Amino acid sequence: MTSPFKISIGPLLFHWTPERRRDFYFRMADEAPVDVVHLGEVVCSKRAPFFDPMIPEVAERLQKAGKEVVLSTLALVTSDREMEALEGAAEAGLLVEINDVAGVPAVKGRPFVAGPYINLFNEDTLKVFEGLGAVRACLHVEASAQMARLLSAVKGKMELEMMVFGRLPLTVSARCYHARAHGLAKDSCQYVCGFDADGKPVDTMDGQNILIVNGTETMSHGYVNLAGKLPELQEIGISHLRLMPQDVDMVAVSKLWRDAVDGRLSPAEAESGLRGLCPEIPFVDGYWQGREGLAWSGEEAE
Amino acid sequence: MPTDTRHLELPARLAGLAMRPMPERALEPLLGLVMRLVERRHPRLIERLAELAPARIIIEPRDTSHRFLIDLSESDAPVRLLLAHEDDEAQATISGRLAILIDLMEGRIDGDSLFFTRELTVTGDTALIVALRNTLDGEEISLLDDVLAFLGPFAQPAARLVAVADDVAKRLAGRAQEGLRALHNLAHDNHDPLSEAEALRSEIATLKTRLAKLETRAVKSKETAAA
Amino acid sequence: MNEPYLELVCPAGTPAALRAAVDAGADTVYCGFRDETNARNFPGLNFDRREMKEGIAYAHAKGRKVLIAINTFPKAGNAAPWHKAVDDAHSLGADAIILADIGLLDYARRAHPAQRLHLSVQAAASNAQAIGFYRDRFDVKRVVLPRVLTVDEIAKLTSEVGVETEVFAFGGLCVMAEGRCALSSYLTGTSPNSQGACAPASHVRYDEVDGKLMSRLGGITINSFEKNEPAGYPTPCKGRFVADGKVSYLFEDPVSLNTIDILPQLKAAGVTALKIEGRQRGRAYVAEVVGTFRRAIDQLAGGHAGMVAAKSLDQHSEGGRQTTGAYKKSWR
Repeated sequence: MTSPFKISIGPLLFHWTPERRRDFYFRMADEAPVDVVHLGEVVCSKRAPFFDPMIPEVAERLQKAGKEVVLSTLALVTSDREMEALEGAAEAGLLVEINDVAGVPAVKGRPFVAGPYINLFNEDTLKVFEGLGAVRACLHVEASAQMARLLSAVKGKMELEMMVFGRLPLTVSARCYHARAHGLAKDSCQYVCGFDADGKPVDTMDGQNILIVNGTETMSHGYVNLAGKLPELQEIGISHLRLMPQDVDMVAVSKLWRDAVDGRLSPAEAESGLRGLCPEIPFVDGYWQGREGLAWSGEEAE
Repeated sequence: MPTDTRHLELPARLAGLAMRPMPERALEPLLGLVMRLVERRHPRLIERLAELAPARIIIEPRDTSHRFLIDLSESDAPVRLLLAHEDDEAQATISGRLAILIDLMEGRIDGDSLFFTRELTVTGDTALIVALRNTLDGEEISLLDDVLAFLGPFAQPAARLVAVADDVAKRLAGRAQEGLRALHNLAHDNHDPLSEAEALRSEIATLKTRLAKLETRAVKSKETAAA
Repeated sequence: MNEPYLELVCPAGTPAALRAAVDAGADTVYCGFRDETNARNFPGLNFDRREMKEGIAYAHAKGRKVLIAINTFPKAGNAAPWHKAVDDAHSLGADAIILADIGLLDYARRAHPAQRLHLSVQAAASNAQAIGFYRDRFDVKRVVLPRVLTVDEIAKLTSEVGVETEVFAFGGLCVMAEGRCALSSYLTGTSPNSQGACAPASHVRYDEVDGKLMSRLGGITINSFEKNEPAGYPTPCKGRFVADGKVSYLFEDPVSLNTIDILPQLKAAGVTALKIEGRQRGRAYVAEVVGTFRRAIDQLAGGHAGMVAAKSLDQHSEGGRQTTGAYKKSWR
């Protein structure tokens, strides 16, 4: 029996060294039971030159391992250089995920994926994107089960993807908060975002872990975890489950998800397995419930 | 610059009045009077405020000895202004100097600006305070005009204070204070405030005539002196 | 000489503020309906249909324009209020409708082919290709640029896009790309994108603790102000947080945007309109800020730039402080 879901590895949002990045993708190719892998820099164009040269080699290895490779693109495009990078990605011959509306003209009518940074909140917008050539849409971080259900009802041939594991990219800015935290400006950032493989924790004044800064992006401190919602995800008609690369054993993470979607683990068992892989990080699923994003309905929930 | 300072006079005087300790028994009917005034002059405001019901908001002029309670309920009197007592419960409290609160009510000053400069403190249900603030700001209230419209005859003497000779001004100021005291005294009685107000009205009408005569005499004597 | 005219676009959260804006010299006033179709859906604010009609009549009688912002993203399964808002804005005679959602733009263009449409800042179209998409697909005539661009970038964009550009001149400063921020919904469950309120008052609490003013959003501590220390909005991006053991305004200080000092550069950049933020502010703010910018723009047109001091608007600024924000590259 074929699995109801494809598992995808989302774009790596942190600034890992090129070598670490390459090794990560090689492991995804060789060891991770996943169907789709996203490459490409989404957060900051200044980081791209480090890993871009390795992308062809990594993409080839992934494709040889039977993975679909999707090239994710910048979430915020303001300069000519960034626009050229986006247009270059669109011409690279891979399926492209666009995260800025500028990507629509850039793909020139070829099929594309509408990424989670695109404001796709309703049926009318989904229909426009379908008409523009979107073959898949990864829903927005704020997407609830109810919204997913309503969009699924009109999705036609489009595939819907949900971020089901990892830190939620909550917002993007022109300003670099990593640089700012180090007393630097974006132009002279010295790539300080590279010091934090899972982002830099930002706590409240009374000590609560709440957010993460990752260069110009701000993320949730908690990892979203929708393992417990697998039956609901399936019933709604979500076809792709996106795991966001974090500084944890992502091969182990992907194996747990594979076992869960193939029915070898119950959702609850998968959830507790994931708990064991990142014991320090709170899980969240509030958006899926239609609540504040940081809420959690799972095991340890009050 | 009479046109620039005119609006400050009455709030300042009211502030002075309110800062004096006043027996609660005296204030209650005065507040009732104020509410009838608002109901008559700003029916739309009452309508909008009623949309927020049920809700209770405490207004705390820091520089006075009183706290007030705005009680919004789904009843025949949807908006009531009362004295707040120690054990009164409310969802929200707004606190600041009386003059600031009056400015805010009249939309002469921006609530967010006051908050940024810490002149205003808000506790409890912030949404309620924001709704109250926005509703008041949308209503173009002028306390001066409202009270003057009610007191009628007061308008002229107050506006002319600066224009007439000193001795007359003094006398007028005295009369004005007398009038306010009358209002104050009115509040002491437990009679129907509206009928009391009517009595006050006619008393003021008499006063006005006398003042106008005084004024004319003063201007005439000035002109004579100048000529 | 054909001196370009800088249009002054001003906020109105209430009919009283609309009149204040017009009387203070606004060329154009923007406002929204009293529901979640606009991005300032605050309690007690905004216009019902009758008020909107009266407001438009007031402005039109004085030769000014009214723009209606319907700039939130319709909820899945409930597009009707947004469609109705567009229909009503059109029939009430709005000089333009300000939209952000692609699906709603599609609806507006099909339902009202001749209606003038502006692209809201909430669409965060920050480059020529994105703006070109909205221009070609929906025939938007003007784009409100997100507050992520430098003056040089604005000048370049304005020369390339073939539609009018409108930029923010004063007021609350979104630090993140507008319409692309889920910080507030992460803490409160209420989304600025779909429900129209960032840091909604219903989730804000202030407490005095040991003489300090604590602000909380959705129960999460956003800031703590010493006695008499200037305060700001309780939005996450203006909060004080701890990173690497240091307490700081990591995202942005409580500060307001003020471009008085760079008006000549913005004009030279070719922008069509300057926008004042603040539909949630009182009419005292509207009157004073609009009046100040009216004088500054008129003086600039008369060749007397720099006569109006930026400092004169300090008291209306968050934290009593002002910035030129992303307009200068060093801000990044």
